[in-house]
Amino acid sequence: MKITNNLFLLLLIVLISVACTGKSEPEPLKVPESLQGLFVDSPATKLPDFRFTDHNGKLFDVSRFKNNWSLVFFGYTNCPDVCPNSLSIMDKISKQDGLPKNMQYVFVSVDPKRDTPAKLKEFVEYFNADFIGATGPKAELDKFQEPLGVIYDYEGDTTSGDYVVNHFAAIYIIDPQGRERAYILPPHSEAQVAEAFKLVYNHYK
Amino acid sequence: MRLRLFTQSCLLLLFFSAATAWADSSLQFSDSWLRQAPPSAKYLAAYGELKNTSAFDVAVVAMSSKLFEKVEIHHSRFQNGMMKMTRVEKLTLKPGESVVFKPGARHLMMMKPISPIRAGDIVPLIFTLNTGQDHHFDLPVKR
Repeated sequence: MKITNNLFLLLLIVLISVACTGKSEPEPLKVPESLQGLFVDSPATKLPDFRFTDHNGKLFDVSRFKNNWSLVFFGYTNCPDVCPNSLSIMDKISKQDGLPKNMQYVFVSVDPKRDTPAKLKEFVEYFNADFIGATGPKAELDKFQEPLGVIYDYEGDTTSGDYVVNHFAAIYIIDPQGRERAYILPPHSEAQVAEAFKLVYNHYK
Repeated sequence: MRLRLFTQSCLLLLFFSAATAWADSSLQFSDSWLRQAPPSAKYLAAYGELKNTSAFDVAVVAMSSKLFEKVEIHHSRFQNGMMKMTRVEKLTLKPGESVVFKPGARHLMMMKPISPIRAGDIVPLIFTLNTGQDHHFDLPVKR
């Protein structure tokens, strides 16, 4: 009888905690060895409290991640090789089946000096009319360094505008609670990023 | 004696013209393409496979295109996910050796287009070798 009471109490505690958090943390996703570059956060990592401006000049903060699954890439628009490649891969993925309806694609520039909202707009819309571009001052961008490992630096003459940006080039998977669920290391391919996202989404949705 | 000198000169001339003919066909650039970028893009990337088809070492020391201010070879490298781009000053190819320019790796950095480059355009590109010879190629622009 005592055991039954204890079991009942335990069940109650579990139910209450699930009700409070919304969802219990699932078992960590096991990434198959054949899939390169996918790293899952278990538990998910909370995003910092940041304030960016999007490509339409509107505020872009953590609330924009809520209720959406997002693929996020940090780069800069003068990037000729890696960023266009990853963004065109994201565009190809956006046209695939098996994705959630509440899916968005975000390009964050770590080069706010050159990447004005107008420049960002031209860049992201070139790849996909629905893509979001965002950036913010250095202090806001740097908030992503500690929790997400977004590091970058400038090489060349930053006063004349003739410089390149070294940057962390992973694609992040952000869940509808606005938390980092996983990241995919470069070099990226359409098959790899699609498989990684679908695996993470189907496990944690 | 004079005749011998003449023969020698002729042979020497023949050798040099043969060498020139060799060098002219010493570089092959296949599967080449230039990635179209948004209209105001200042930096574009081109890709392809460059092969030394001669029997000698060749070195690419400069590149140019009349549609761009500057062309350089750059190398994108990933170090623990961090993307770093470095400039390649000189590219030496052994006989039969080829290098691949591809996204996320070694690529041709086409800087500051004179006018917007669109898909379907053909962009001329010149590789200059250490011998001073120019090799002309045409790159199709693709999305």
